[in-house]
Amino acid sequence: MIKIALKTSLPILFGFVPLGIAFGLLFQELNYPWYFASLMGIIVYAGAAQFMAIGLLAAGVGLVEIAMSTFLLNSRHMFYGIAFLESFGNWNLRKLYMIFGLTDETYALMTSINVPKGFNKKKYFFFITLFAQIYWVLGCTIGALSSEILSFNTEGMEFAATALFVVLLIEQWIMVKRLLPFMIGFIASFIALMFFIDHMLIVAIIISIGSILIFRLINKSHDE
Amino acid sequence: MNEIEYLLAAILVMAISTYLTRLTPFLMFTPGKENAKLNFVAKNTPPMVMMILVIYMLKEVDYLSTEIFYTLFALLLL
Repeated sequence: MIKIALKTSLPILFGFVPLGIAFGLLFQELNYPWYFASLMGIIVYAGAAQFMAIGLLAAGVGLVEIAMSTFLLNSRHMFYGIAFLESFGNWNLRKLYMIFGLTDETYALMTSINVPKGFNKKKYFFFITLFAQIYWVLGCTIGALSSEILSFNTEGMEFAATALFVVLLIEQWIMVKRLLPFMIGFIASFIALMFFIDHMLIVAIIISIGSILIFRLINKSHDE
Repeated sequence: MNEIEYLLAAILVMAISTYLTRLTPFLMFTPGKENAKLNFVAKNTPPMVMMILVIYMLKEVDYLSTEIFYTLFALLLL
C-alpha cells in the first residue's frame, strides 16, 4: 500500500519540490540560517502563507498581524475538511496529522482518486499526506541550502501545479458527471476575479457553496 | 525580542493559524449520514474548488514570460 500511495502522490512531488525550492531561495534573502526554511515547511506547511511570510518578516510586522494575515489567506482550508469528516476516521494522532496536512494539493488529489479495493482508506490517505509534506520540506530545504551554492531559476515552475489541478479537474468530471458544480465554480471564479481579485479563492469558494445550496433549495421545493 | 526569537514566534503563530483553518470543519461538524445538507456540500465542493483552483492558477500565469510555454506544453501533454 505504501508503494501505491507513493506512486499516487508523485504528481504532488512535481508541484511541491520546485515551489519549495523557490520558497527556500527567497527565504534565504532574509539571511536566517537555512534550517528555519525547513522548520517552516515542517510546522507551518502552507505554500502561499509561507511566501507571504517572507514579505511580512522582512518588514518586521507584529505577530498579531502575521497571525491574522495567515488565517485570512488560509481560510479557504476551512471548507476542505468537510469532504473528509468521515474518511479521516476517529480522533487520534493520525487524524490530527492528516488535518494538519490538508493543503490545496492533497485536498485536490484525495477528493479525486478512488481508493484501491482492499485498502484501508485512512492509512492510504495518511501516507499520501505524509509523502506530500516530505516533498514540500525537501523543496524548502534544497532551496534554502542551495541559495549560497547555486543559482536556480525556478521562475514559471508553477505550471506543475496548474497541470496537476487540470488533471484533477478532469478526474472530478469523470467522477461527478454533472455540469452544475463546474458551472458554478466557473461563474463564481469570474465574479470573484472581477470584484475581489485579492481574495479570489476564498470569495469564489463562498459564492460557490452559497449558490449550490440555493440550487438545492430550489430543487427541493420543486419536488415537494 | 531578538531576531531569532521573532522568527520563531512568527513561525509558531503561523503554524497555529494555519492549523486552526484546517481543523475548523472537524470541530464544527460531526460526521453522520443523517446530515443530508452537509453531505451535499461535501460532495459538490471538490468539483467547484478544482474549477476555481484552475482558474486561479491560470490567472497567476505570467503570460509574458516562458511560464506560458511550460503551461501550454503541460496542458497539451494531457
